[in-house]
Amino acid sequence: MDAGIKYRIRVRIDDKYIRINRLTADLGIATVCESALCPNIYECWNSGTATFMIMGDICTRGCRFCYVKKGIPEPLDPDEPKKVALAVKNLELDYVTITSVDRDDLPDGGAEHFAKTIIEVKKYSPNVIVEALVPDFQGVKEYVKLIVNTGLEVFAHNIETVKRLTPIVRDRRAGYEQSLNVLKYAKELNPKLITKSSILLGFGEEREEIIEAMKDLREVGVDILVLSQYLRPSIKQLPVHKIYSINEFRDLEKIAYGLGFAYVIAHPLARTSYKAREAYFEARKRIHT
Amino acid sequence: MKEVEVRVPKELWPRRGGWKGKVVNILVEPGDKINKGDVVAEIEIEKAILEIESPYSGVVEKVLCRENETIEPGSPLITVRVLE
Repeated sequence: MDAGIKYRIRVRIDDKYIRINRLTADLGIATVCESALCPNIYECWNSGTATFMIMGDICTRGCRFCYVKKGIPEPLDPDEPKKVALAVKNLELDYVTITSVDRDDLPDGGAEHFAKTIIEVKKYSPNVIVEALVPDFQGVKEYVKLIVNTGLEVFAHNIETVKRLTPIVRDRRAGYEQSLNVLKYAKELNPKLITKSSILLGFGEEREEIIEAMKDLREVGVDILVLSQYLRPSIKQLPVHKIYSINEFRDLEKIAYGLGFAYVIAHPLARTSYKAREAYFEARKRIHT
Repeated sequence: MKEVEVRVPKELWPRRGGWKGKVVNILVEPGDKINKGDVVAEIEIEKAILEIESPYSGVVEKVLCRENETIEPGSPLITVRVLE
């Protein structure tokens, strides 16, 4: 069943958009904005920000909601950490979000390369705030530690959906508990680190299941929650089971705040990195007051 | 006065080409005066409806697409006589 309602997106290509396009293309850095056909690309790029996607643009996993190419990835580019660092410096970003494809072909899932990238970014731009949206590294604490130890400010990892639908929505190598553990490890390793996770809505989950997932995220100390509408990128991905109304988003947002999240972004078109800077500063403020 | 084409921007998810859409609404006709930033056509893709803005101010000369036509990045939509 497809819910059949579509959101309207205004397409405007400004100078800043063109600058990000040129810079990332010249340096050969992928962005998740492009790879996932993100509906917010115009808003973000026109405002001068992008989410870099490292370790190539081919993912080893086949999650059934995601538009990122799947298959056998290219070997890692050893210069990529420096390239990302140069891009961040060149764009004069004070807040950067970095994500990656899953690299189950690498023994450490790419954790070391990801960590190197964050370290390099901070070396070139010492005042930049780094948010990393990481894969699960197959739930290995040691790899989570490599990321946490870089000194990043926000550790994000998505559970994507409720427990019951995880085997349908995500790749078989992903796991609901495994993802919760990744978030738990990050918080245990550095309790001051802000952690973040997203749930996509519209796969057929029940309200009670969403609340259960939110409780599970709070249980492992997650600070920032993103709730958003699943939009089918192409007919190859799962159909949309339900389009949530703005009132339903408001209802879930209220429940989430009641459960103790420091900041909640609940909006149909929100994605994990959407308004990430604002979410971080608001969360920081609320945690410390 | 020069005549320019307004196309489906190739900068739309630039390195993830290969997507296709369908023209669902053409909002201008020849002779219409338009301003930079006006929406001239709406394109439906699987994920959303994209409202395509004109990067130019001027007068619409020709409409180069039809409703329900399949389009991709770079497809021409209209021509505009740009006002100097």
